[in-house]
Amino acid sequence: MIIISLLIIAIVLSTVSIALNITFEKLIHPYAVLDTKPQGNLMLEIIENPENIGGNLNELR
Amino acid sequence: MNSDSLLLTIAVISVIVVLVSSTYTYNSISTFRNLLTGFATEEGHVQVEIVSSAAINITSAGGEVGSKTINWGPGAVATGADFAILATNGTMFQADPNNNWTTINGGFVIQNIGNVNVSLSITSMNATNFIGGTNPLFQYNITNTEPGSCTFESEITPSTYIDFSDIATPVCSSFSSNPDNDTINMDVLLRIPRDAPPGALDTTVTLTYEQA
Repeated sequence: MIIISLLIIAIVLSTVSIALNITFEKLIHPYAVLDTKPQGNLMLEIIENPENIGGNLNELR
Repeated sequence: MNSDSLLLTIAVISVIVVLVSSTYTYNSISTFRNLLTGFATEEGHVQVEIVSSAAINITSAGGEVGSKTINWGPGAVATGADFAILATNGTMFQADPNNNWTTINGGFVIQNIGNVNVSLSITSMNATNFIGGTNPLFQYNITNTEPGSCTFESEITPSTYIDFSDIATPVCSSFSSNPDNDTINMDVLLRIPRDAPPGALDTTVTLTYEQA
């Protein structure tokens, strides 16, 4: 009975400890790192020029 | 020692360990909250500690403030030309007049918006994977919009184009957070061979940084 009680106490305290740690992480995180990898985008579309079909000129010369 | 005694000992030890860890966590949180928000003492003093914050941001792209995207739109290589060159400094060379890409005036404007100097690296696709064809180029250069913003790595020459790589390339050993010197510009250059596969191209340029 004593052992079971102690184990239950340990489980409850562990749960509280984990909850406190999660709260702590939420407090720290926004101030420690905002955005470690900002990204820019590059876009374009290549259209085939019908008069250029036939391969690269450098290869043809 | 029988099994009951062993189990009892383990249970007692586990309770003690949990109690100690809970107390430590609680004290840590209490300390952090005081540092972050200021702590008024009985004498009326207020103590505030400014927490280090490392952060950079793309503030403009293609000459458009607030944008992070550069879009040349559709276009073709001019008839008889081996390649076309597009760059974000307004360059448009040997593009087909009938299928002309949009001229872009302005690269990525990058600002250090944190309160600590950071080192900066750049990553994207290489030219072969992004454009394809014969002898494509996909390059960038870095210039200090505000003098002294970027202390360049020894391998980097300011305003000189270098190839994008899928391996992070360090460009600034120190990117200043001083509000008077915290902005750089990254221009992008594309050389599109006439035999590059037609289609829509889309890639990202990733900036990686850490406190210098």
